[in-house]
Amino acid sequence: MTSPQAGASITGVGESAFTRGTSHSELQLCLKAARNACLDRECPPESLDGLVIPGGRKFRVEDVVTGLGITDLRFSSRAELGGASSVAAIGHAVAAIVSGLATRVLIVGGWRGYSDRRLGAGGDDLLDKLAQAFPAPEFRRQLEHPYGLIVPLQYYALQANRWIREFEIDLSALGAVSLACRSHAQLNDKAVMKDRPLAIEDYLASPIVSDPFRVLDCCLETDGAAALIVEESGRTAGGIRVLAVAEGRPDSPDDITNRPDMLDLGIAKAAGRAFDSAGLGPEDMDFCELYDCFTFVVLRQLEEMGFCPRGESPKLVAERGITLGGKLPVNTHGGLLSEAHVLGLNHVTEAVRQLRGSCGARQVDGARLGLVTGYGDFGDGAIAVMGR
Amino acid sequence: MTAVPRPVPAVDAPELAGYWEGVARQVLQVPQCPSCHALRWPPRGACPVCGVVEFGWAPVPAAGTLHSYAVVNRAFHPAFAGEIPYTLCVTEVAPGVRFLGRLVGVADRDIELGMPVTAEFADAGGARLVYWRPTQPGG
Repeated sequence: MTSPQAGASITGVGESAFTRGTSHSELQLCLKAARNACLDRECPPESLDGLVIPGGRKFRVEDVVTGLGITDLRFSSRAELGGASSVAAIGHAVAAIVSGLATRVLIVGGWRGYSDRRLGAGGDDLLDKLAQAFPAPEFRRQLEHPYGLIVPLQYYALQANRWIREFEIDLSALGAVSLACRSHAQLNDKAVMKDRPLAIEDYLASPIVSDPFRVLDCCLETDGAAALIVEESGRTAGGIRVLAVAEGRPDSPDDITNRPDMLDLGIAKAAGRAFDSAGLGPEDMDFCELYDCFTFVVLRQLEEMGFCPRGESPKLVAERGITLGGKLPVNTHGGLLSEAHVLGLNHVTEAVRQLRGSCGARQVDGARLGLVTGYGDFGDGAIAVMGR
Repeated sequence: MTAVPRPVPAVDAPELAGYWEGVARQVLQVPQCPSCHALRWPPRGACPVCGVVEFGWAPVPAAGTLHSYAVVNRAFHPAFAGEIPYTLCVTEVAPGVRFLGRLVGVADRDIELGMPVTAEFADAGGARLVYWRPTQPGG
């Protein structure tokens, strides 16, 4: 059976440098990444005719058109699912390709996550920025900020404690995710945490930010951008096929407090759609690049995608092994936790390179099928199943 | 000590004005659809079943059960630096109606999901807020 989504492939990937500190603007980082994706594809930037910008970026379509010298942009859109936008953007691109609205679509995103206002640094100018970044800013300002519920980690701690209490969770699984990502970063020259290996003692000595989360359960804040090029499959040799892509939202997507099932995540709906569409299931994946703003989110996505029943991800991680060489390698580049926080677009570029077989020391042997997820706001989700 | 003020709710935000007006009187109230009578909390502009946009306000119990909690060990806003550690909580007071607030009067190790809690109203930094305390036996 041919899914319409099987008609598109990722044919080029590129990044800027990933750093903590930059003199470049967000737009400049993105233009650099886009040019590198064009070099990878061996196409001139002016030949791009579609553009998808993942959520909340500071630049506009016109900035990319003029910055890359695109002469005839025929399609543009923005995906708005917070951190899930990068993967959801692939859906926009595929739709544009298979419908004929565009033939060569650029997805580009990045930010100065370190050099602009940093979440981890706190501060009194944080509130408006956060309220505007989330859905339903008035709920944030009115019902949450006055109590000191401000940053994503605190919202997810409300969910985590419910999960921990209900399922008697073994918290060592959080550390296992943190350590797996860090060990993979040691094999990745682009990783900000290369040459900074992590032992379980280091993890356990890491301060609690909001119980049960430690500093080392949280992603990095870095400067950088990444870009993808999507085209009709078969236009060039070596494209990585998008076998299925889907987005999904939890119930009550603008409010965790009143979500009927507080543990509901959008990825549950999205993964069901994507696996059905591709005719594949979790057991078919050779690796997973999972959005890892926090270690907890990696574990919860595995459960809600159907890799295991709810509450059993610690057991799954321990039994199958999520480090390279294990049966379920996760975040082979180091993830947001240890490579860089590039809005999850770096998860997609890593998946493409794994499926090309070009990952060198961190290559998953014989990788033919993989998945990438995005996670954003109060549990929006997106998933792409890809194959060579 | 910090001179940075605590974030306070804007009492004139139209969709939540009834809620804060109730809190000022030490009453918890939420929007109720005049057509299907469902409680619609938090307020989202229209009843998703009836399409009604003009709501009444119905009182709900100022007591309920603890649905979840989070102990905060690090302040992300200077106004809260002096309050660390503090405990956020989600309290369910009626089917489909939960409030985010602060849990007080219980040690972390004694927190249990489902435990009965009762609202207390107290002023903090120029706003009247709702705190939740474990319900005393017989209370």
